[in-house]
Amino acid sequence: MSFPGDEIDELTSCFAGLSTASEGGTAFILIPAMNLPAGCDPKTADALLCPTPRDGYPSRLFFSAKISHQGPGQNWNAAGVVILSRQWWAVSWKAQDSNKRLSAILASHLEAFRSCKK
Amino acid sequence: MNPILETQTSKTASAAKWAASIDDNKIAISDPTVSEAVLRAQAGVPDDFVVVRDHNSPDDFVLKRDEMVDLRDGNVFYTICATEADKRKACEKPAKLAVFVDDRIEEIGKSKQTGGSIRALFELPGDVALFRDLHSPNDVPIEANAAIDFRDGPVFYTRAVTLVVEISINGRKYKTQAGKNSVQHLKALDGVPTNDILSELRGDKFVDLRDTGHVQVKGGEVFVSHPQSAGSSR
Repeated sequence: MSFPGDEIDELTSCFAGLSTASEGGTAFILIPAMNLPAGCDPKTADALLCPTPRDGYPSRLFFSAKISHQGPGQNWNAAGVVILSRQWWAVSWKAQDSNKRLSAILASHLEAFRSCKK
Repeated sequence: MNPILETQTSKTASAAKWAASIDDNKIAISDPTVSEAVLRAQAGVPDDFVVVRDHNSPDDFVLKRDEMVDLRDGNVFYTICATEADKRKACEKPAKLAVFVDDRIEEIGKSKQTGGSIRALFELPGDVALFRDLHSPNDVPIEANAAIDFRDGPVFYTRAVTLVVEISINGRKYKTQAGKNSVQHLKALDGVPTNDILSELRGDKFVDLRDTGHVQVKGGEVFVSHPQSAGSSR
């Protein structure tokens, strides 16, 4: 599976070193050392976005470590799962995906880590 | 203006407007050659005071009554009581130069400037254009790299410019005015539902924007919207 070029370009313009990879027919987007929302500890982590259905979610966002934060996404129900030969962690978060643009899906997942909800 | 106080030099259609700084006040003058009487009258200088051209020297030049002066040689003046105007030597130092932008006054160290240096001196924001004030309806904006010579006229003004730039919202390109844009306006451009969150990809971070907020748009910004995600299971 390949991602729309303009959507990858949009993300690449913001996230240096972004790359794509696939495993078992599922495509992922890897963002190294992504800056996390304020209040997160650590402040940066590698992120792995799976923008297609997985584990019963319409999309998932994994991190290279468990993130301490004050946002609403506190249920870390994926811990140390191995994808692309690395361990990843993810919170239970059903990102609303009416806008299926990659950047929108990523932004929606980051809402789980923001302490100030609108 | 009282026509009696007008200087005698005829104006050309594109001649620049002039001004002098007298005791830190802007005195508009139609022509760079002007009599002491005009300066005195326009600045309201009392009879027992004299007008002095500022050379930043103890020998600053005291203008004689009705003497003609050329503002191109220096347009910064102050007044002192005539009794304090002692005898002075010929002043060797160059006279101070002042430029005026929207009636603000700043001194400049040299005659040769650029549009950029004048903008920097007056800390002009990017959304205004700088014009030299001419005796003409067709003033031309001065670009940042354009050469400016004080001797061509020290009076400038600014006008707000509407700069239209391109931004991206949810992958679609839109034109909008540079500068302050409301989040509501940006949402409306792409038909983003009211309850959705609009985020800006700022650097390498997503920044959620408050619906009541504003964004300073320069062009090239990337925005993306998404519904509020309330689907967490704890």
